[in-house]
Amino acid sequence: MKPFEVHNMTVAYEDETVLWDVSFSVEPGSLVGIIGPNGAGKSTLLKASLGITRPLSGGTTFFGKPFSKVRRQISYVPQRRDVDWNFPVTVFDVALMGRHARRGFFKWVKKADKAAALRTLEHMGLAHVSDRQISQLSGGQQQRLFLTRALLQDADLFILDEPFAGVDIASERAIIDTLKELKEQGKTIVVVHHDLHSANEYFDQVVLLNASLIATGTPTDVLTPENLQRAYGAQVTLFEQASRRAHAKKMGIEI
Amino acid sequence: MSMFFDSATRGPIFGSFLMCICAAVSGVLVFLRKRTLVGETLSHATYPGIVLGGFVCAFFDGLVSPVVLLLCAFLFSLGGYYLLRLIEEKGKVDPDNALCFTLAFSLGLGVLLASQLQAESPLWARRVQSYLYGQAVTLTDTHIYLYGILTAAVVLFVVIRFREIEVAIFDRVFASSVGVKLKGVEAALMFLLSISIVVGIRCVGVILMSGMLIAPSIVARQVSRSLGKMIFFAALVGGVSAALGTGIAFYYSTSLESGAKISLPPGPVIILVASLWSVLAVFFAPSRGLVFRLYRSVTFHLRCQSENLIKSIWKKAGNGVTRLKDVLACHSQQKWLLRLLIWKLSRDGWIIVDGLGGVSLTRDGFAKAEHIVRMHRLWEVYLVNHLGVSAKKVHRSAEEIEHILSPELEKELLSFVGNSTHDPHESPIPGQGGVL
Repeated sequence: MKPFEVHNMTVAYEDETVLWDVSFSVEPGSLVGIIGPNGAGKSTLLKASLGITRPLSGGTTFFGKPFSKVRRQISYVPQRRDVDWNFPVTVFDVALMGRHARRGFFKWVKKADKAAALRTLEHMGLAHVSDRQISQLSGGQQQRLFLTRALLQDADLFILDEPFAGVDIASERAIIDTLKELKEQGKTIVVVHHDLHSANEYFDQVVLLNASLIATGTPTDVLTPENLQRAYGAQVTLFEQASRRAHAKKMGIEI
Repeated sequence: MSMFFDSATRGPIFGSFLMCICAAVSGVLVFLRKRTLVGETLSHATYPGIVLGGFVCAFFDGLVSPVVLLLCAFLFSLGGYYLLRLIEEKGKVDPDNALCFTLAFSLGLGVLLASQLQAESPLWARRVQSYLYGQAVTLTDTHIYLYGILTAAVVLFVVIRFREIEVAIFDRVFASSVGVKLKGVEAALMFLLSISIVVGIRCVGVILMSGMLIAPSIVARQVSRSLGKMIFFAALVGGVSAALGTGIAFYYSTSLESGAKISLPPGPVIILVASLWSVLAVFFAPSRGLVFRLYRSVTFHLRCQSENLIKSIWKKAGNGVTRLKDVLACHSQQKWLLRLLIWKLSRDGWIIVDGLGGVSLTRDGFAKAEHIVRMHRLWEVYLVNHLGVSAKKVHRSAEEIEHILSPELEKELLSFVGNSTHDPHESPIPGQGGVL
């Protein structure tokens, strides 16, 4: 049973079509990147799949069922900028939300849940800030906190929206290592991603998107100059050069 | 103490106490939902309801009037909310405009109806009038029971559904993905808000009501880092404001010799107490208050100055001695300030000032200076080599960065450029040997 399968999905806001007849599926136990330029409809694809926005036609099934039937098996990590980081809530409480989501929000959390939350925070390098209000976290820590919450949901499928946006290198490393660990455990992970150059290293499967599906498959098969040209159009040259340069700078490679 | 038991005063005191707690609790939720103006609009929307309630009470004599009025006000408050939503969503009107329109429309309708009531029943017209500005002094035991039940219901609801409300306000997308019904939570919040408003308007009036919703939240926001604490503090602020406000109002109400009576209305006094409290919180709260932020900013500024002084002594004297006058001449700040900083530096053991106008660094001071210069120059290397900034432009940035680097950032910087020996201006980078 495919953990994530998009069938002929079309989404429109107001009068503008953002996604046009997209279909693809994801194998169990794989780490998949959804890649495309800004405004390609990557986040929209996720939101429509999870029933947060309503698709015009088509839809997504999870493990062969509609989302509402298998909610507990799926954990979604929204974009960092989707929430108000000044909200009065502590790091620990946000982590616990993952357990609440699993148990139902009326039930009290058990001691075991709190212990699990602490252990996971520790694992993500956030134990020392667990009492702090979330506004005191750096961008990378915020993203790691979101992942902590997702881990505590104990799901089989993880869906992350831009987890590497505005994140420091150490956090990016920690996050990708955790995702790979999840993969080892047989979980499926779908990530919306914007950096073409780490895509090769990170993902087993890539979905290249620009309003409609350009290509899907292994990174080497998909990220060809022709496909990138189709996805990014005229922007591709500048974008390619700039991101290659940024990558080289980060890794300390001479250009 | 007798105030609490006297049948004439216990109504106002407990009535406004309960009302403030109720308003504070639901106020926090709409405050965090960033929809406080909805509170203002809905409280005005209750007014035509109150007037209609007046008609009903005038027509059927002998009804339990507070219950009738509250019920009518409550229905109109909910009606106001649906009108608001209708205009916003179906009419595609900007939220601010929709709020203004609903508020003005309701008040206009209320005033029109009130003039009709005046002709019908002057007694009820006068009673209804008092809901505009509030009349806490006329609260009775019936109000205490009624408000007690409603406040308890609001608090209980928030306690039971706490985690759900928290996640729905904090992270809507996540909440919806895990199956929280956002529309249900939103409706519940508006229900709570409407209850708090109808509990409050008799006491502080339709016009001042929103103050009681917001002021406790402003105070509580400054001092709390979790939602539970914020609600608790807001309720505390509301309760204390109510007690203080009614206390002050009664204390300063006096009878004149002529037989006329000057009485302070408790409602506005409560609002003023709560507002004063929120102003104080904005200025003096420990971590977010303006005064402490100013203090921290000044302290940081002074630390930068002292570190710059150490740096210039290091540049002039190195391991040896230099003239204090020459050091001070490099700095443009006020002389007295520099003298003060020098005195503090020597007291803290970074430098030694001898009696002959000479100054030198202690061993610790020397290490500190080297560290500062090292960070400055490494940062310049980082900017030039890793970010491609021109070497001419990096000094200013480094002047700032040398003072703010945390141990973690320092480690990261070292991982990039730790083995550089010279900065972009060809000056050697000191302290290569490590800590010792």
